[in-house]
Amino acid sequence: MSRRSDLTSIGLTKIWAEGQGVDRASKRALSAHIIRRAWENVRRSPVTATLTTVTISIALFLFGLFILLIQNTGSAVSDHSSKVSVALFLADQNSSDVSERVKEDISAFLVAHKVTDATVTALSKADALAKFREVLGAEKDLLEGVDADNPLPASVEIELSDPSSAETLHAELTAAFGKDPRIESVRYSRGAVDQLRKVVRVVQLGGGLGIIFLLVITGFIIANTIKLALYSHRIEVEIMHLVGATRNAIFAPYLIEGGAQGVVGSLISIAGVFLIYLFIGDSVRSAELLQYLFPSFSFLGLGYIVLIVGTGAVVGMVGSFFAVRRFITEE
Amino acid sequence: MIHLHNVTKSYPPDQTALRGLDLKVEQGEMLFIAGASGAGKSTLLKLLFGAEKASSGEVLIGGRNLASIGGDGVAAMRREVGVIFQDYKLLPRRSVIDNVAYGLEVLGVGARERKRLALLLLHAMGLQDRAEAYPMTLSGGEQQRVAIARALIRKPRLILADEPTGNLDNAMSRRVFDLLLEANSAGVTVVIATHNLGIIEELNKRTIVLDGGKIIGDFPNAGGLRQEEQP
Repeated sequence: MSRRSDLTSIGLTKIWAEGQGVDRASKRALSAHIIRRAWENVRRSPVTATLTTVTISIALFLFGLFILLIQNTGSAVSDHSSKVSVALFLADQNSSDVSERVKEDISAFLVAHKVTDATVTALSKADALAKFREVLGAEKDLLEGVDADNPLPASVEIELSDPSSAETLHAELTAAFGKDPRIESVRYSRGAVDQLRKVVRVVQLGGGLGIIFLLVITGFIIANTIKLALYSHRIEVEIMHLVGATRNAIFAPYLIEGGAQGVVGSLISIAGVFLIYLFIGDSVRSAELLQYLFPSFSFLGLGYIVLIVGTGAVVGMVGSFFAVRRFITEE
Repeated sequence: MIHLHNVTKSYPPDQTALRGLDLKVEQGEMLFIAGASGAGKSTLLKLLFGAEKASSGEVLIGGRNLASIGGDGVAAMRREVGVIFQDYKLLPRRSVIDNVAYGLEVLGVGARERKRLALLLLHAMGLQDRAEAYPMTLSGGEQQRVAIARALIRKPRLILADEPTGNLDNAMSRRVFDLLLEANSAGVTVVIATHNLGIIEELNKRTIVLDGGKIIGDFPNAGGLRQEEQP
Protein backbone atom coordinates (compact mmCIF):
# COMPACT_ATOMS: atom_id res chain seq x y z
CA MET A 1 0.00 0.00 0.00
CA SER A 2 1.37 3.39 -0.91
CA ARG A 3 1.81 5.92 1.85
CA ARG A 4 -1.10 7.95 0.53
CA SER A 5 -3.63 7.01 -2.08
CA ASP A 6 -4.08 8.96 -5.28
CA LEU A 7 -6.94 10.80 -3.62
CA THR A 8 -4.75 12.85 -1.30
CA SER A 9 -7.78 14.83 -0.19
CA ILE A 10 -11.46 14.17 -0.63
CA GLY A 11 -12.23 17.63 0.58
CA LEU A 12 -13.08 16.78 4.17
CA THR A 13 -11.87 20.14 5.40
CA LYS A 14 -13.89 21.82 2.64
CA ILE A 15 -17.03 19.95 3.75
CA TRP A 16 -16.36 20.93 7.35
CA ALA A 17 -15.85 24.52 6.29
CA GLU A 18 -19.21 24.44 4.51
CA GLY A 19 -20.77 23.01 7.66
CA GLN A 20 -19.46 25.89 9.78
CA GLY A 21 -22.14 28.35 10.75
CA VAL A 22 -24.97 26.58 8.94
CA ASP A 23 -28.40 27.42 10.19
CA ARG A 24 -29.71 25.51 13.15
CA ALA A 25 -33.17 23.99 12.75
CA SER A 26 -35.90 26.32 13.99
CA LYS A 27 -38.11 25.16 16.87
CA ARG A 28 -40.95 24.76 14.42
CA ALA A 29 -38.87 22.64 12.07
CA LEU A 30 -37.61 20.61 15.03
CA SER A 31 -41.18 19.97 16.26
CA ALA A 32 -42.27 18.96 12.74
CA HIS A 33 -39.25 16.66 12.53
CA ILE A 34 -40.10 15.00 15.86
CA ILE A 35 -43.75 14.48 14.84
CA ARG A 36 -42.60 13.05 11.49
CA ARG A 37 -40.31 10.63 13.31
CA ALA A 38 -43.19 9.55 15.57
CA TRP A 39 -45.39 8.98 12.53
CA GLU A 40 -42.64 6.99 10.78
CA ASN A 41 -42.28 4.81 13.88
CA VAL A 42 -45.99 3.97 13.68
CA ARG A 43 -45.93 3.54 9.89
CA ARG A 44 -42.99 1.16 10.00
CA SER A 45 -44.37 -0.96 12.86
CA PRO A 46 -48.14 -1.05 12.16
CA VAL A 47 -48.72 -4.36 13.95
CA THR A 48 -47.09 -3.37 17.23
CA ALA A 49 -48.68 0.10 17.06
CA THR A 50 -52.11 -1.49 16.57
CA LEU A 51 -51.49 -3.98 19.38
CA THR A 52 -50.59 -1.16 21.76
CA THR A 53 -53.62 0.90 20.75
CA VAL A 54 -56.00 -2.06 21.13
CA THR A 55 -54.58 -2.94 24.57
CA ILE A 56 -55.06 0.64 25.73
CA SER A 57 -58.58 0.78 24.28
CA ILE A 58 -59.65 -2.47 26.01
CA ALA A 59 -58.33 -1.23 29.35
CA LEU A 60 -59.99 2.16 28.99
CA PHE A 61 -63.23 0.55 27.80
CA LEU A 62 -63.51 -1.30 31.14
CA PHE A 63 -62.48 1.91 32.91
CA GLY A 64 -65.23 3.77 31.01
CA LEU A 65 -67.88 1.19 31.97
CA PHE A 66 -67.02 1.60 35.65
CA ILE A 67 -67.25 5.36 35.31
CA LEU A 68 -70.63 5.04 33.55
CA LEU A 69 -71.89 2.92 36.47
CA ILE A 70 -70.53 5.24 39.14
CA GLN A 71 -71.75 8.38 37.41
CA ASN A 72 -75.32 7.08 37.11
CA THR A 73 -75.58 5.57 40.59
CA GLY A 74 -74.29 8.87 41.93
CA SER A 75 -77.05 10.72 40.11
CA ALA A 76 -79.60 8.29 41.61
CA VAL A 77 -78.76 9.46 45.14
CA SER A 78 -78.88 13.14 44.28
CA ASP A 79 -82.10 12.62 42.33
CA HIS A 80 -83.88 10.74 45.12
CA SER A 81 -82.40 12.90 47.85
CA SER A 82 -83.85 15.98 46.21
CA LYS A 83 -87.30 14.41 46.36
CA VAL A 84 -87.48 13.71 50.11
CA SER A 85 -91.03 13.95 51.41
CA VAL A 86 -92.94 13.37 54.61
CA ALA A 87 -96.30 11.62 54.31
CA LEU A 88 -99.14 11.36 56.82
CA PHE A 89 -101.32 8.34 56.06
CA LEU A 90 -104.90 8.70 57.17
CA ALA A 91 -106.91 6.07 58.93
CA ASP A 92 -108.78 4.03 56.36
CA GLN A 93 -112.31 5.11 57.27
CA ASN A 94 -111.60 8.77 56.62
CA SER A 95 -113.15 10.33 53.60
CA SER A 96 -111.57 12.75 51.16
CA ASP A 97 -112.85 15.86 52.94
CA VAL A 98 -110.94 14.71 56.01
CA SER A 99 -107.70 14.62 54.02
CA GLU A 100 -108.39 18.20 52.92
CA ARG A 101 -108.89 19.24 56.56
CA VAL A 102 -105.72 17.46 57.60
CA LYS A 103 -103.94 19.27 54.79
CA GLU A 104 -105.18 22.61 56.13
CA ASP A 105 -104.06 21.71 59.67
CA ILE A 106 -100.64 20.70 58.43
CA SER A 107 -100.29 23.85 56.35
CA ALA A 108 -101.08 25.89 59.45
CA PHE A 109 -98.57 23.81 61.42
CA LEU A 110 -95.86 24.47 58.83
CA VAL A 111 -96.58 28.21 58.88
CA ALA A 112 -96.39 28.16 62.69
CA HIS A 113 -93.04 26.34 62.47
CA LYS A 114 -91.77 28.71 59.76
CA VAL A 115 -91.35 25.94 57.17
CA THR A 116 -91.68 27.90 53.94
CA ASP A 117 -90.12 25.56 51.36
CA ALA A 118 -92.72 22.81 51.54
CA THR A 119 -95.45 21.79 49.12
CA VAL A 120 -98.44 20.12 50.75
CA THR A 121 -100.66 17.83 48.69
CA ALA A 122 -103.73 15.90 49.78
CA LEU A 123 -104.25 12.51 48.14
CA SER A 124 -107.55 10.75 48.43
CA LYS A 125 -107.78 6.96 48.30
CA ALA A 126 -108.82 7.25 44.65
CA ASP A 127 -105.86 9.58 43.95
CA ALA A 128 -103.50 7.07 45.59
CA LEU A 129 -104.87 4.28 43.41
CA ALA A 130 -104.56 6.40 40.27
CA LYS A 131 -100.95 7.27 41.19
CA PHE A 132 -100.13 3.61 41.76
CA ARG A 133 -101.62 2.74 38.37
CA GLU A 134 -99.34 5.38 36.85
CA VAL A 135 -96.31 3.82 38.54
CA LEU A 136 -97.22 0.37 37.26
CA GLY A 137 -97.46 1.66 33.71
CA ALA A 138 -98.00 -1.26 31.36
CA GLU A 139 -98.70 -3.53 34.31
CA LYS A 140 -101.66 -1.45 35.52
CA ASP A 141 -104.04 -4.25 34.60
CA LEU A 142 -102.91 -5.97 37.78
CA LEU A 143 -105.13 -3.51 39.66
CA GLU A 144 -108.24 -4.39 37.74
CA GLY A 145 -111.17 -4.87 40.06
CA VAL A 146 -109.65 -3.24 43.14
CA ASP A 147 -111.55 0.05 42.69
CA ALA A 148 -114.45 -1.23 44.70
CA ASP A 149 -112.29 -2.26 47.61
CA ASN A 150 -109.37 0.15 47.35
CA PRO A 151 -106.75 -0.88 49.96
CA LEU A 152 -104.64 2.24 49.58
CA PRO A 153 -104.98 4.87 52.29
CA ALA A 154 -105.60 8.57 51.73
CA SER A 155 -102.62 10.71 52.64
CA VAL A 156 -101.18 14.18 52.91
CA GLU A 157 -97.70 14.55 51.42
CA ILE A 158 -95.23 17.27 52.24
CA GLU A 159 -92.44 17.68 49.70
CA LEU A 160 -89.41 19.59 50.89
CA SER A 161 -87.01 21.50 48.71
CA ASP A 162 -84.38 21.18 51.48
CA PRO A 163 -84.09 17.43 52.16
CA SER A 164 -81.86 17.96 55.20
CA SER A 165 -84.79 19.34 57.22
CA ALA A 166 -86.95 16.24 56.57
CA GLU A 167 -85.82 14.32 59.63
CA THR A 168 -86.60 17.19 62.05
CA LEU A 169 -89.94 17.87 60.41
CA HIS A 170 -90.81 14.18 60.58
CA ALA A 171 -90.14 14.16 64.32
CA GLU A 172 -92.19 17.34 64.87
CA LEU A 173 -95.11 16.08 62.81
CA THR A 174 -95.04 12.74 64.63
CA ALA A 175 -95.16 14.58 67.95
CA ALA A 176 -98.00 16.82 66.82
CA PHE A 177 -100.14 14.41 64.80
CA GLY A 178 -98.96 10.94 65.83
CA LYS A 179 -101.84 10.56 68.30
CA ASP A 180 -104.42 12.24 66.11
CA PRO A 181 -107.18 9.65 65.50
CA ARG A 182 -107.43 10.74 61.88
CA ILE A 183 -103.77 9.79 61.30
CA GLU A 184 -102.59 6.22 61.08
CA SER A 185 -98.87 6.87 60.60
CA VAL A 186 -96.31 9.54 59.78
CA ARG A 187 -93.52 8.41 57.44
CA TYR A 188 -90.85 9.99 55.44
CA SER A 189 -88.88 8.72 52.46
CA ARG A 190 -85.49 9.32 54.02
CA GLY A 191 -85.24 5.67 54.95
CA ALA A 192 -85.49 4.59 51.33
CA VAL A 193 -82.95 7.21 50.30
CA ASP A 194 -80.61 6.03 53.05
CA GLN A 195 -80.98 2.47 51.81
CA LEU A 196 -80.30 3.63 48.28
CA ARG A 197 -77.30 5.60 49.50
CA LYS A 198 -75.93 2.45 51.11
CA VAL A 199 -76.41 0.45 47.89
CA VAL A 200 -74.81 3.23 45.86
CA ARG A 201 -71.92 3.46 48.33
CA VAL A 202 -71.26 -0.25 47.91
CA VAL A 203 -71.48 0.06 44.12
CA GLN A 204 -69.19 3.09 44.09
CA LEU A 205 -66.72 1.56 46.53
CA GLY A 206 -66.69 -1.65 44.49
CA GLY A 207 -66.37 0.39 41.30
CA GLY A 208 -63.57 2.50 42.79
CA LEU A 209 -61.67 -0.58 43.94
CA GLY A 210 -62.36 -2.13 40.54
CA ILE A 211 -60.91 0.92 38.81
CA ILE A 212 -57.78 0.88 40.99
CA PHE A 213 -57.36 -2.85 40.40
CA LEU A 214 -57.99 -2.38 36.70
CA LEU A 215 -55.54 0.51 36.44
CA VAL A 216 -52.79 -1.48 38.16
CA ILE A 217 -53.34 -4.60 36.06
CA THR A 218 -53.88 -2.79 32.76
CA GLY A 219 -51.06 -0.35 33.51
CA PHE A 220 -48.78 -3.36 33.84
CA ILE A 221 -50.13 -4.94 30.64
CA ILE A 222 -49.92 -1.65 28.71
CA ALA A 223 -46.36 -0.97 29.93
CA ASN A 224 -45.28 -4.44 28.82
CA THR A 225 -47.08 -4.16 25.48
CA ILE A 226 -45.37 -0.84 24.79
CA LYS A 227 -42.05 -2.31 25.92
CA LEU A 228 -42.50 -5.19 23.49
CA ALA A 229 -43.61 -2.82 20.75
CA LEU A 230 -40.58 -0.58 21.29
CA TYR A 231 -38.18 -3.50 21.57
CA SER A 232 -37.63 -3.34 17.83
CA HIS A 233 -36.49 0.27 18.36
CA ARG A 234 -34.03 -0.70 21.11
CA ILE A 235 -30.97 -0.66 18.83
CA GLU A 236 -32.05 2.68 17.38
CA VAL A 237 -32.38 4.21 20.83
CA GLU A 238 -28.98 2.88 21.91
CA ILE A 239 -27.27 4.19 18.76
CA MET A 240 -28.86 7.63 19.10
CA HIS A 241 -27.59 7.70 22.66
CA LEU A 242 -24.05 6.68 21.63
CA VAL A 243 -23.89 9.26 18.84
CA GLY A 244 -24.68 12.01 21.32
CA ALA A 245 -28.41 12.68 20.96
CA THR A 246 -29.88 14.43 23.99
CA ARG A 247 -32.37 12.54 26.11
CA ASN A 248 -35.13 14.91 24.96
CA ALA A 249 -34.34 14.23 21.29
CA ILE A 250 -34.45 10.48 21.93
CA PHE A 251 -37.60 10.49 24.07
CA ALA A 252 -39.75 13.04 22.21
CA PRO A 253 -40.83 10.95 19.17
CA TYR A 254 -41.60 7.93 21.35
CA LEU A 255 -43.58 10.00 23.86
CA ILE A 256 -45.62 11.53 21.04
CA GLU A 257 -46.14 8.06 19.52
CA GLY A 258 -47.26 6.64 22.91
CA GLY A 259 -49.49 9.64 23.63
CA ALA A 260 -51.15 9.44 20.21
CA GLN A 261 -51.76 5.71 20.59
CA GLY A 262 -53.29 6.41 24.02
CA VAL A 263 -55.62 9.09 22.63
CA VAL A 264 -56.74 6.88 19.72
CA GLY A 265 -57.21 3.94 22.13
CA SER A 266 -59.28 6.11 24.48
CA LEU A 267 -61.51 7.34 21.64
CA ILE A 268 -62.14 3.74 20.57
CA SER A 269 -62.97 2.84 24.18
CA ILE A 270 -65.42 5.77 24.47
CA ALA A 271 -67.11 4.64 21.26
CA GLY A 272 -67.36 1.13 22.79
CA VAL A 273 -68.90 2.49 25.99
CA PHE A 274 -71.36 4.53 23.90
CA LEU A 275 -72.46 1.40 22.05
CA ILE A 276 -73.01 -0.37 25.39
CA TYR A 277 -74.92 2.68 26.62
CA LEU A 278 -77.20 2.56 23.57
CA PHE A 279 -77.61 -1.18 23.91
CA ILE A 280 -78.62 -1.26 27.60
CA GLY A 281 -80.17 2.21 27.82
CA ASP A 282 -83.71 1.13 26.86
CA SER A 283 -83.62 -1.87 29.19
CA VAL A 284 -82.58 0.34 32.11
CA ARG A 285 -85.30 2.88 31.41
CA SER A 286 -88.06 0.28 31.15
CA ALA A 287 -87.18 -1.90 34.17
CA GLU A 288 -88.74 -0.56 37.39
CA LEU A 289 -85.91 -1.57 39.75
CA LEU A 290 -83.15 -0.34 37.42
CA GLN A 291 -85.08 2.88 36.92
CA TYR A 292 -85.00 3.43 40.67
CA LEU A 293 -81.21 2.79 40.73
CA PHE A 294 -80.60 4.86 37.59
CA PRO A 295 -83.42 7.44 37.48
CA SER A 296 -81.65 9.48 34.82
CA PHE A 297 -79.47 6.98 32.97
CA SER A 298 -77.18 9.16 30.89
CA PHE A 299 -73.97 8.83 28.88
CA LEU A 300 -70.57 9.88 30.25
CA GLY A 301 -70.34 13.58 30.99
CA LEU A 302 -67.81 15.74 29.13
CA GLY A 303 -65.55 15.80 32.20
CA TYR A 304 -65.37 12.01 32.28
CA ILE A 305 -64.71 11.84 28.53
CA VAL A 306 -61.81 14.27 28.96
CA LEU A 307 -60.61 12.16 31.92
CA ILE A 308 -60.59 8.97 29.81
CA VAL A 309 -58.82 10.64 26.87
CA GLY A 310 -56.31 12.24 29.25
CA THR A 311 -55.74 8.91 31.00
CA GLY A 312 -55.10 7.28 27.61
CA ALA A 313 -52.58 9.94 26.63
CA VAL A 314 -50.78 9.79 29.99
CA VAL A 315 -50.72 5.97 30.09
CA GLY A 316 -49.31 5.85 26.53
CA MET A 317 -46.64 8.45 27.24
CA VAL A 318 -45.61 7.02 30.62
CA GLY A 319 -45.41 3.50 29.14
CA SER A 320 -43.20 4.75 26.30
CA PHE A 321 -41.04 6.76 28.69
CA PHE A 322 -40.24 3.77 30.89
CA ALA A 323 -39.65 1.48 27.90
CA VAL A 324 -37.20 3.90 26.24
CA ARG A 325 -35.51 4.76 29.54
CA ARG A 326 -34.87 1.08 30.11
CA PHE A 327 -33.16 0.77 26.73
CA ILE A 328 -30.87 3.67 27.57
CA THR A 329 -30.00 2.48 31.07
CA GLU A 330 -29.56 -1.12 29.93
CA GLU A 331 -26.87 -0.08 27.44
CA MET B 1 -7.05 15.90 25.03
CA ILE B 2 -7.13 12.44 26.61
CA HIS B 3 -5.81 11.68 30.06
CA LEU B 4 -6.17 8.26 31.69
CA HIS B 5 -4.91 7.86 35.21
CA ASN B 6 -4.54 4.37 36.69
CA VAL B 7 -7.67 3.12 34.91
CA THR B 8 -8.95 -0.39 35.58
CA LYS B 9 -12.04 -1.94 34.02
CA SER B 10 -13.43 -5.18 35.44
CA TYR B 11 -16.52 -7.22 34.62
CA PRO B 12 -18.21 -9.53 37.05
CA PRO B 13 -17.48 -12.05 38.26
CA ASP B 14 -13.71 -11.87 37.85
CA GLN B 15 -12.75 -10.65 34.37
CA THR B 16 -10.41 -7.69 34.14
CA ALA B 17 -10.25 -6.05 30.71
CA LEU B 18 -7.91 -3.15 31.58
CA ARG B 19 -5.37 -2.95 34.39
CA GLY B 20 -3.97 0.29 35.78
CA LEU B 21 -3.72 2.19 32.48
CA ASP B 22 -1.92 5.54 32.37
CA LEU B 23 -2.09 7.40 29.06
CA LYS B 24 -1.86 10.95 27.75
CA VAL B 25 -2.81 11.95 24.21
CA GLU B 26 -2.32 15.58 23.16
CA GLN B 27 -4.75 17.59 21.04
CA GLY B 28 -3.97 17.02 17.33
CA GLU B 29 -2.09 13.79 17.95
CA MET B 30 -2.71 10.55 16.03
CA LEU B 31 -2.43 7.36 18.07
CA PHE B 32 -2.71 3.71 17.15
CA ILE B 33 -3.75 1.13 19.74
CA ALA B 34 -2.37 -2.22 18.72
CA GLY B 35 -2.77 -5.62 20.27
CA ALA B 36 -4.23 -9.05 19.72
CA SER B 37 -7.95 -9.77 19.98
CA GLY B 38 -9.06 -9.56 23.63
CA ALA B 39 -6.13 -7.29 24.57
CA GLY B 40 -8.55 -4.54 25.67
CA LYS B 41 -8.47 -2.21 22.61
CA SER B 42 -12.26 -1.93 22.19
CA THR B 43 -12.80 -1.61 25.95
CA LEU B 44 -10.36 1.29 26.04
CA LEU B 45 -12.21 3.05 23.22
CA LYS B 46 -15.55 2.47 24.98
CA LEU B 47 -14.17 4.15 28.09
CA LEU B 48 -13.10 7.12 25.97
CA PHE B 49 -16.62 7.91 24.74
CA GLY B 50 -18.43 6.99 27.93
CA ALA B 51 -20.08 3.76 26.72
CA GLU B 52 -18.41 2.03 29.67
CA LYS B 53 -17.41 3.40 33.05
CA ALA B 54 -14.01 2.75 34.57
CA SER B 55 -14.11 0.48 37.61
CA SER B 56 -11.37 2.63 39.14
CA GLY B 57 -9.11 5.47 38.08
CA GLU B 58 -9.91 8.60 36.07
CA VAL B 59 -10.81 9.15 32.42
CA LEU B 60 -10.53 12.79 31.33
CA ILE B 61 -11.54 13.98 27.87
CA GLY B 62 -10.80 17.62 27.13
CA GLY B 63 -10.19 18.12 30.85
CA ARG B 64 -13.59 16.72 31.87
CA ASN B 65 -13.76 13.68 34.12
CA LEU B 66 -16.33 11.38 32.51
CA ALA B 67 -17.28 9.89 35.87
CA SER B 68 -18.58 13.22 37.15
CA ILE B 69 -20.27 14.93 34.17
CA GLY B 70 -23.54 12.94 34.24
CA GLY B 71 -25.74 11.72 31.38
CA ASP B 72 -26.21 15.11 29.68
CA GLY B 73 -22.50 15.86 30.01
CA VAL B 74 -21.60 12.55 28.36
CA ALA B 75 -24.09 13.27 25.54
CA ALA B 76 -22.51 16.71 25.03
CA MET B 77 -19.03 15.15 25.01
CA ARG B 78 -20.15 12.57 22.44
CA ARG B 79 -21.31 15.34 20.13
CA GLU B 80 -17.67 16.51 20.00
CA VAL B 81 -16.39 13.01 19.27
CA GLY B 82 -16.69 11.11 16.00
CA VAL B 83 -16.87 7.41 16.79
CA ILE B 84 -16.36 4.73 14.11
CA PHE B 85 -17.79 1.57 15.62
CA GLN B 86 -16.46 -1.86 14.72
CA ASP B 87 -20.04 -3.08 14.26
CA TYR B 88 -21.00 0.18 12.44
CA LYS B 89 -24.09 0.90 14.59
CA LEU B 90 -26.17 2.27 11.75
CA LEU B 91 -29.80 3.20 12.35
CA PRO B 92 -31.64 0.35 10.61
CA ARG B 93 -34.81 2.30 9.80
CA ARG B 94 -33.04 5.23 8.22
CA SER B 95 -31.58 5.56 4.75
CA VAL B 96 -27.84 5.91 4.15
CA ILE B 97 -28.08 9.68 3.73
CA ASP B 98 -30.19 9.99 6.91
CA ASN B 99 -27.65 7.89 8.81
CA VAL B 100 -24.80 10.14 7.72
CA ALA B 101 -26.87 13.27 8.36
CA TYR B 102 -27.68 12.01 11.87
CA GLY B 103 -24.21 13.19 12.92
CA LEU B 104 -25.49 16.72 12.23
CA GLU B 105 -29.04 16.09 13.44
CA VAL B 106 -27.79 15.64 17.02
CA LEU B 107 -26.25 19.11 16.71
CA GLY B 108 -29.60 20.60 15.67
CA VAL B 109 -28.59 21.43 12.07
CA GLY B 110 -31.56 22.02 9.76
CA ALA B 111 -32.75 19.19 7.49
CA ARG B 112 -31.77 20.79 4.17
CA GLU B 113 -28.24 21.64 5.30
CA ARG B 114 -27.54 18.29 6.85
CA LYS B 115 -28.70 16.45 3.71
CA ARG B 116 -26.58 18.67 1.49
CA LEU B 117 -23.46 18.07 3.57
CA ALA B 118 -24.18 14.36 3.90
CA LEU B 119 -24.47 14.06 0.13
CA LEU B 120 -21.14 15.84 -0.33
CA LEU B 121 -19.46 13.34 2.00
CA LEU B 122 -21.20 10.38 0.36
CA HIS B 123 -19.81 11.57 -2.98
CA ALA B 124 -16.37 11.69 -1.42
CA MET B 125 -16.83 8.15 -0.08
CA GLY B 126 -18.12 6.84 -3.42
CA LEU B 127 -21.53 6.11 -1.93
CA GLN B 128 -23.66 8.71 -3.68
CA ASP B 129 -25.59 6.02 -5.58
CA ARG B 130 -26.54 4.33 -2.32
CA ALA B 131 -27.83 7.47 -0.61
CA GLU B 132 -31.45 6.32 -0.42
CA ALA B 133 -30.66 2.65 0.35
CA TYR B 134 -31.20 1.15 3.81
CA PRO B 135 -28.28 -0.30 5.81
CA MET B 136 -29.49 -3.91 5.57
CA THR B 137 -29.16 -3.77 1.77
CA LEU B 138 -25.48 -2.69 1.92
CA SER B 139 -22.37 -4.86 1.96
CA GLY B 140 -20.18 -4.89 5.08
CA GLY B 141 -17.69 -2.55 3.43
CA GLU B 142 -20.41 -0.10 2.40
CA GLN B 143 -21.87 -0.10 5.90
CA GLN B 144 -18.43 0.61 7.31
CA ARG B 145 -18.02 3.58 4.96
CA VAL B 146 -21.43 4.93 6.00
CA ALA B 147 -20.41 4.64 9.66
CA ILE B 148 -17.16 6.51 8.88
CA ALA B 149 -19.06 9.21 6.98
CA ARG B 150 -21.40 9.72 9.96
CA ALA B 151 -18.44 10.13 12.31
CA LEU B 152 -16.78 12.66 9.98
CA ILE B 153 -19.80 14.70 8.83
CA ARG B 154 -18.98 17.44 11.32
CA LYS B 155 -15.55 18.41 12.54
CA PRO B 156 -15.07 16.64 15.85
CA ARG B 157 -12.36 17.39 18.40
CA LEU B 158 -11.62 13.68 18.65
CA ILE B 159 -12.08 10.71 16.35
CA LEU B 160 -12.19 7.23 17.87
CA ALA B 161 -12.03 4.41 15.35
CA ASP B 162 -12.37 0.73 16.22
CA GLU B 163 -10.93 -1.40 13.40
CA PRO B 164 -12.15 1.15 10.82
CA THR B 165 -10.96 -0.81 7.78
CA GLY B 166 -11.74 -4.34 8.95
CA ASN B 167 -14.18 -4.98 6.10
CA LEU B 168 -12.59 -2.86 3.39
CA ASP B 169 -10.36 -3.75 0.46
CA ASN B 170 -6.96 -2.12 0.06
CA ALA B 171 -8.15 0.72 -2.14
CA MET B 172 -10.97 1.68 0.20
CA SER B 173 -8.73 1.26 3.26
CA ARG B 174 -6.37 3.78 1.69
CA ARG B 175 -9.21 6.18 1.15
CA VAL B 176 -10.38 5.85 4.76
CA PHE B 177 -6.89 6.44 6.16
CA ASP B 178 -6.52 9.42 3.85
CA LEU B 179 -9.65 10.79 5.48
CA LEU B 180 -8.34 10.17 8.96
CA LEU B 181 -4.98 11.73 8.10
CA GLU B 182 -6.74 14.71 6.58
CA ALA B 183 -8.79 15.13 9.75
CA ASN B 184 -5.64 14.84 11.83
CA SER B 185 -3.92 17.46 9.66
CA ALA B 186 -6.83 19.77 10.44
CA GLY B 187 -6.02 19.46 14.17
CA VAL B 188 -8.39 16.64 15.10
CA THR B 189 -7.06 14.09 17.60
CA VAL B 190 -7.37 10.60 16.11
CA VAL B 191 -7.23 7.33 18.06
CA ILE B 192 -7.40 4.12 16.03
CA ALA B 193 -7.62 0.62 17.46
CA THR B 194 -6.35 -1.94 14.99
CA HIS B 195 -4.41 -5.16 14.77
CA ASN B 196 -3.33 -4.26 11.21
CA LEU B 197 0.43 -3.73 11.71
CA GLY B 198 0.87 -2.97 8.00
CA ILE B 199 -1.18 0.21 8.33
CA ILE B 200 0.63 1.17 11.54
CA GLU B 201 4.00 0.75 9.88
CA GLU B 202 2.95 2.67 6.81
CA LEU B 203 1.56 5.68 8.64
CA ASN B 204 4.41 5.71 11.17
CA LYS B 205 2.51 7.34 14.03
CA ARG B 206 2.63 6.95 17.80
CA THR B 207 1.48 3.45 18.79
CA ILE B 208 0.67 1.85 22.13
CA VAL B 209 0.53 -1.92 22.43
CA LEU B 210 -1.96 -3.58 24.76
CA ASP B 211 -1.65 -7.09 26.10
CA GLY B 212 -3.87 -8.61 28.77
CA GLY B 213 -5.35 -5.18 29.54
CA LYS B 214 -1.94 -3.53 30.15
CA ILE B 215 0.09 -1.12 28.05
CA ILE B 216 3.23 -3.09 27.28
CA GLY B 217 4.74 -0.57 24.88
CA ASP B 218 4.35 3.09 23.91
CA PHE B 219 6.25 3.93 20.71
CA PRO B 220 6.54 7.40 19.19
CA ASN B 221 6.54 5.87 15.70
CA ALA B 222 6.45 2.55 13.87
CA GLY B 223 10.25 2.32 13.94
CA GLY B 224 10.24 1.72 17.67
CA LEU B 225 7.55 -0.90 17.28
CA ARG B 226 9.63 -2.72 14.62
CA GLN B 227 12.67 -2.77 16.86
CA GLU B 228 10.56 -4.14 19.74
CA GLU B 229 9.25 -6.93 17.51
CA GLN B 230 12.73 -8.01 16.44
CA PRO B 231 14.40 -10.46 18.79
